[in-house]
Amino acid sequence: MIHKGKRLFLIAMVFAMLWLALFGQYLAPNDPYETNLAMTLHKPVAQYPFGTDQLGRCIFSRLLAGVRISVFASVTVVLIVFVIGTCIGIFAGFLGGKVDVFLMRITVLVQAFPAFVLAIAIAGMIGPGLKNAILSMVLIYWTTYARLGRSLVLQVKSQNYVKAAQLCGAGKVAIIFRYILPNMIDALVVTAALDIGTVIIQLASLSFLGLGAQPPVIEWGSMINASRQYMQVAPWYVFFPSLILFVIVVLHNKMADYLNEGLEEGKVI
Amino acid sequence: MSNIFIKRTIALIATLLAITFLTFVVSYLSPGDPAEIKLSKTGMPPSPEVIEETRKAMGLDRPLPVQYFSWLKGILKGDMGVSHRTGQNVSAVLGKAFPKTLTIALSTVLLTTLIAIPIALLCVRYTDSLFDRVIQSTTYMFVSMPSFIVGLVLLYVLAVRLHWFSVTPGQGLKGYVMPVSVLVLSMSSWYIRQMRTIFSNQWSMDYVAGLIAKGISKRRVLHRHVLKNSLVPIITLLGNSFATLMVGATIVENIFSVPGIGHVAIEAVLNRDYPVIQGFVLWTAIIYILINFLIDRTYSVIDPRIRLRKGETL
Repeated sequence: MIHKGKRLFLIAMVFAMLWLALFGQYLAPNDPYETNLAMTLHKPVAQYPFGTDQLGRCIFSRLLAGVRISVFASVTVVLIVFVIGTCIGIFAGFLGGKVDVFLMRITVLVQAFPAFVLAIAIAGMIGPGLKNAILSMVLIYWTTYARLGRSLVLQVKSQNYVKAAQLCGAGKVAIIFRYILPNMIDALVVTAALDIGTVIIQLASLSFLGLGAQPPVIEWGSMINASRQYMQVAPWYVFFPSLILFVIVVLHNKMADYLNEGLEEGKVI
Repeated sequence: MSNIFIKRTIALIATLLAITFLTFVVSYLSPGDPAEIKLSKTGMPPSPEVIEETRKAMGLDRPLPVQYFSWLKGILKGDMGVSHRTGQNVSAVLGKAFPKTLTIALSTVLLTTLIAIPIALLCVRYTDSLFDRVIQSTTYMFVSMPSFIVGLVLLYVLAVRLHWFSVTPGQGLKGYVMPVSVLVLSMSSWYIRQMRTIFSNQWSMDYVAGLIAKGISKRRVLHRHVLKNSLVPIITLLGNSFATLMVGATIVENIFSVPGIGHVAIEAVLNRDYPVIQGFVLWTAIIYILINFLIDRTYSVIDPRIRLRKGETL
């Protein structure tokens, strides 16, 4: 059981992050794109709290501008796979028969491979870029929700209240939306919350390898990639983006752990 | 020998074919003309006629099914085509990268096993002790940290600060120390957490209470019984990790410039070198299917219950 104070703290942090994602760029002390060739790779000073990069751009401002990309891209991926995967899972589980076999074959085929390798292969074949990185993550992660959704549907479907609804003449659509979906959504939401941290890491990793966001888009993974050749002269350039990325992922994981515990205790919030 | 075996083999071949076909179609449909990319490497902007000629020479003007089948026919003969970029044979490129990746994968999995199992056992034996809590929070940290950050931190501390290694890749065995350390740090953290859960589940079972009631020491129960009963899930996890590493520890190979499979794949992807990408995907598929097959075999070796159950169904 998570302590109440800790719970409030976590909720506050998640809201703070969302707020930063929405308005972070307006807090930036400097223009994240503005170069200052007199101050390249400068150590942190009052004007540039986190120092500057190889073109004299403010690292702090760039990190703030990057929250939007990193957080929104990951949330987008998870939202899309959540909807698509759950729909496929419900179809497969509810309809059964050949549809089920076919959909599950595809799921197993996709899941047979390590997600990151598939993401590299797909991003590689359709070309590097943030949109394509998102697309490749979507193509991989829907399987989790399809399988989980399907198994949950099968569990719920055999419950007496669903049979009762069928006997009362409820239509298929009504049964899915009014009786099945509400009874399975919790587990799926927790999975989605857990996935956000993973997706942030994987998107940043793709960008780090040069397969995700391309300049001038500001993304943490590609910032860290650009920074590593200046590691000897400007360690702060590597340090701050890495730290922020790490903190965001830990926050997400903690939040997901909390949701998970709540689910196990039978209530989410 | 049974229906199951035949069915599995057919499913296996179908899977492989589906993968080759998908890879091929996606590469075919993707934007960017390999002929143009190959020519632009020379530095001169090519004329449309030259591009057309190169396309013909590379066989890119033929219809999709023809290209696919000629590619497939080559693969059956062990020929995966030549790299659009360097003109090297794809099988040769992958073959050259293979020993490096194998070294990384083997040492990582071995070290992770040697580190994670004892620590996880200790965590279960002294649950909620200071040791357990320290391990829990340390591993939580490493699990939440992208491996490229672990890599960069290590590079900074060991190479830039302490000068134990050079920042540029080392040759010979020394070049593997840092990449393997990064992987072992991340992987053993994850494994300690997984194994702790697996062991704790076993630990709360009735047979453990029974053994302890009989006066057998906790240590012996853990090492003899709990560990043995946990082997199947652990081997499954380790097998999967090994397979994942075999298709490229992409991030660390990239950071520490180890020319392994993952490095080859990224180079190919950034240069739109389709034959190499296709070779890589095929390689992944084969490695995965082979390793999963082997894991499946080991189940019945280590667990007589599975052996007997299989005996009944076959």
